Amino acid sequence: MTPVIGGLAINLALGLAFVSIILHFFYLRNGDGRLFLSGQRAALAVSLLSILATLILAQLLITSNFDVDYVAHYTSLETPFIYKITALWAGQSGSLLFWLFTLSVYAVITILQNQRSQHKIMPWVMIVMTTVQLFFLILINYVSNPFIPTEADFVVANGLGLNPLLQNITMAFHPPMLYLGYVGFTIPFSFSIAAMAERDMNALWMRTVRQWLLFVWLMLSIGIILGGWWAYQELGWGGYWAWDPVENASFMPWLTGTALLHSIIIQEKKDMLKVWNMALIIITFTLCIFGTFLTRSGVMSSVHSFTASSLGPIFLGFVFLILVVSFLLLFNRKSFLQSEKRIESFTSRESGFLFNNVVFIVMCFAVFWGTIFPVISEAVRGTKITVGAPFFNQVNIPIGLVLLLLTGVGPLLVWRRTSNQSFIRNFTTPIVMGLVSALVLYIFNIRGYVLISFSLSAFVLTTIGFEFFRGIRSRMTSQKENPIIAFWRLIRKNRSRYGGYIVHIGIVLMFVGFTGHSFDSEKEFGLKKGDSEHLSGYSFTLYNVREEERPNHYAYIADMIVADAFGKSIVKLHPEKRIYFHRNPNPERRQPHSELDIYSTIKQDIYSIFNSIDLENEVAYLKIMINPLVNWVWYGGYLFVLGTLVALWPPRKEKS
Amino acid sequence: MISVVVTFLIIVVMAVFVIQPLFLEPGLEIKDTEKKSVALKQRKKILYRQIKELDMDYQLGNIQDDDYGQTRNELKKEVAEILTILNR
Amino acid sequence: MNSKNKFYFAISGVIVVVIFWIWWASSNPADEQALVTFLSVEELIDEDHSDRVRLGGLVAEGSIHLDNNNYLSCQFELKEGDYILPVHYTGARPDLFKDGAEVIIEGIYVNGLFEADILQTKCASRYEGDLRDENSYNLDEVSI
Repeated sequence: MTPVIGGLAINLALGLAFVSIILHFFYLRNGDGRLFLSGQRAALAVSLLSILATLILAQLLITSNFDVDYVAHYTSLETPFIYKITALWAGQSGSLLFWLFTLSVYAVITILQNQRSQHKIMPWVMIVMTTVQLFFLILINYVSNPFIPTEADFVVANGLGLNPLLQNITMAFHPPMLYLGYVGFTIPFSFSIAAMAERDMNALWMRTVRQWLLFVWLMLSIGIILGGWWAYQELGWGGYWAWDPVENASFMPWLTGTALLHSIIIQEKKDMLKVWNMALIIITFTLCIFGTFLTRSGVMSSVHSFTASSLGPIFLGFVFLILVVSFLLLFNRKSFLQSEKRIESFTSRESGFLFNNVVFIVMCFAVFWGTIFPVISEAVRGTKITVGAPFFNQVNIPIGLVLLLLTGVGPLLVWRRTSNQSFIRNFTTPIVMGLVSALVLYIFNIRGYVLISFSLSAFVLTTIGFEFFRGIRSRMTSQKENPIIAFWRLIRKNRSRYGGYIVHIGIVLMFVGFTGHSFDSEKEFGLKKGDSEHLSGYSFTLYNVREEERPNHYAYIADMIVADAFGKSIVKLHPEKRIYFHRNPNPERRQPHSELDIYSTIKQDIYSIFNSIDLENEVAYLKIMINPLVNWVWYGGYLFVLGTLVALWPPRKEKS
Repeated sequence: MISVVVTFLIIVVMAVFVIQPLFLEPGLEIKDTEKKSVALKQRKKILYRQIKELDMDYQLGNIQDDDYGQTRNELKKEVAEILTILNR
Repeated sequence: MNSKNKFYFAISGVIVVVIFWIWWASSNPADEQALVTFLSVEELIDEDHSDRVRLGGLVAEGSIHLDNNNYLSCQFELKEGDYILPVHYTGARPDLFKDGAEVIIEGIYVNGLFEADILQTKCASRYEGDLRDENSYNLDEVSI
C-alpha cells in the first residue's frame, strides 16, 4: 500500500508546486493577500508532501519491501539496519528524492522563520525555491521514480544488497552533510534573486543571507572533509583527495562560497561590491546544481557516479536556465546595485578581501578547467585527454600557497587604510619567523614547495598568534582582566573576527598535513608466515593469518608486528581481506573487500592493506604506506569546524 | 482499500489547507507584523558593531589618527540619521 | 591613474597571470600521468602509439592468470568491442577486479603487450544486476 501513497505524494507535490508558483505570481500582480496566504500554504504543502514521500521510502527500505524496485536494488535482508537507511541516498532516484527532502526541510524553515517579516520579498523567495523543487519533482516523477514497483511476474526473494564500500559509518554522515551544504545554497540564492526582483536589499536581508551562508558553508565543508576521511579509511589507496570529478564538483562551490563569505562582509560594512556578490551567489548555486549533475548523470566516470542516464540533458538545460535568467536579472538591476563608494587603498582590508576573492575564483576556474577538459578535448580535437591528479596539483599548489599567504596578511589589514607604522610593527615578527623557519628547513635539506609551504605556515601562525596576543594584552590593560578571562571575552565579544582566525589556524594545520604528502612512501610485497619486510626504517613481520566468519562476510586477517629501526615493536596491525555475500552459491556474486588497518600518530600514519591471499603457497600480499602528517589534516578540520561554530553562535540579546 | 481511503484523505486535507485562505474576506493586506523599523534597527546594530571594532583596532594601533576620526565620524553620522528616522 | 583604475589593473593582472599559468601547465605537464590520452583498443592497435595511454574495456572471461610466484603480477585480456588486447599488470588489484569487470588501465603498449601500471575498476555489475538472477539465491543459506 505505501508505495502507492509515496507515488501519490510526489505527484500531488508536483501539481501543488505549479499552483504555488502561479498563486504567488497573481499575488505580485494584484496584491490580494488571500492569494499570498494560499500560495505560501501551497509551498508548505509541496515541502510536507516531499518529506512524507522520503519518510515512506525510508520505511520501505527498513521493512525490506522488495516489491519496490529501488529497495530490491540497493538493500538485501542481510543489510544492517543503519545501512538500510543510508540506502536512501545510495542510488540515483533515492538521492534525487533526498535532495528534494533536504530542500523541503529548508523551505519549511524559511517559511516559518519569515511568517512575520520580509513579506515584500517572500513571494519571490518562495517562487525561486519552489521552482527548484519543481525541477526535482519532475525528475522524480518522470525520469527516475524511486517508487516504481519491481516487475511483477516473479517474486524477489532477496535484494541485491548495498555495495560494501558504502557500508561504512562515515557514509551515514558524509552524503547528508554534503546535501545540507549543496542544497542549502538555494536559500541565499533565493533571497538574492528576490531582493533583486523587488529592488530591496536591507539589513534584515543581509542578516538572513549571511547566517545561512555561514551555516550552509559549514555543512559543505564538513561534508567534504568527511568524504576525504572516508576515502582514506575505506578506499585503500592511501590518500584522502584524488581530484576525482565528483570531489571537484563539491570543491568548486566551496571555493566560490568561501570567496562570497569574505566579500559579503564588505557589502555589510561598506555597502560595496553588491553586483560582484550577486554574481558570486548565482555562480555558487549554479555550481551546486552542476555538481549534482556531475554526480548523477554519469558524464564523468568516477567512483561516485551511477550509470549513464537521460538525466544529463535535463540537468544541463536547468543549469543553463538558471544562469540566463539570473544574469539577465542582475544585468537589469545593475543601477540598483551599484554603489558610489570606492576602495581607497591597496593596503586596506577591502582590497585584501578583493584579492582573496580573485584568487579563489581563479582556483575554481582551474579546477573547473581540469574537470571538463576531457569533455572539451574530445569535442574540439576528437581525442579524449584525461586529466590526472598531478595536473591539478601542479596548477593548484602555487595558487593554494598564495591563498595561504593571504590567510596571514588579510587579518592584519584594517578597513580603509593600514598605517605604515602598524604595517611594519605587525609584520616584522611574522616575516622574521617565516624567514627563520625557511632557513632552518633549508639547512635540513628541504627545498621547493615544501619549504615555501612550511615557512608560510609559520608566518601565518605568527600573525594570528600576534592578533590574539595583542587583543588579550589590550583587554588586560583596559579592562584589568586576567589573561584567561581576557582571552575568553575577546573571542566572545568579537565572535566573527576571532572565529575567523580560528578557522584560519585550522586551514594552516591542514596545509601542513597536505605538505606532508610529499614525504609519502609505500611498498607492496608478499609475505609467508614469519617473514618480514622493511620500509622507511620500520620492519613488518607477518606472524599469523587467521580466518573468521562474521554475520555478513568472511574475513582473512593478517596479523603483523611493526618494529622500529632498533627492533622495538611499536604496534600490531591487522588488515583484513573480506568476502561479502560469501554464502552466495554463485562465486561470481561474492564480493571481495579490503579492510585497512591504520596506526595513526601526530607524526605519521602507518597504513596497511591486505591485497590478496595465495592459499596454496600460503603467501599474504600486503601493501604498506607511511604517510607523514596526515593527522594534521583532521586536527585542522576540527579547528575549522570549531571556528565556524564560534562565528555562527547566536549573540546574546543585546540590551537596547 | 485502505490505500484508497488514505489517498483520498491526503488529497482532501491538502486541498482544504491550500484553498482555505481564498475564502477569507477580500481586501486582506499583507504587512510585516514586525515594525518596518526592524531593518533599520538591524542596520544600527551593524553600525554599532563596526564602531566597536574600529575602536578596538585603534586601541591596537592599527589605524592612523586621521583615518580613525574620519571613519568614526562617518559611522556616527549614519547612526544619527537612523536614530532621527526611528524617533520620528 | 585613479584608484579605481589601479584596482582593475591589478586584478586583471592577477587573472592574466593565472590564466597564462593554467595554459602553460596544460601544455607542459609536470608528470607523465598529468594528462593522458584516452584511446579505444582499436585505435591503439591500428595507430602506432608509443606514449602513455589510457584504455577502457572488459576483462575477457577466463583470461586472468596470476603469476604463481608472485600474486601481485598478473596477465589478462582486455576486450573492447571485437578487439582483444593482452595486458600485463603488477601491483595491488582492486577488489572488484574479476572476469567481466569493467576496467580502466593506463600504461605503455610495447610489442603486442600492454604494460599497465594503473588498474581501476568501475562499478561492479552486481549493483546494476538483474534481479531475476537472484532466483537461484536460497534464502535458507542466508544468516541474518
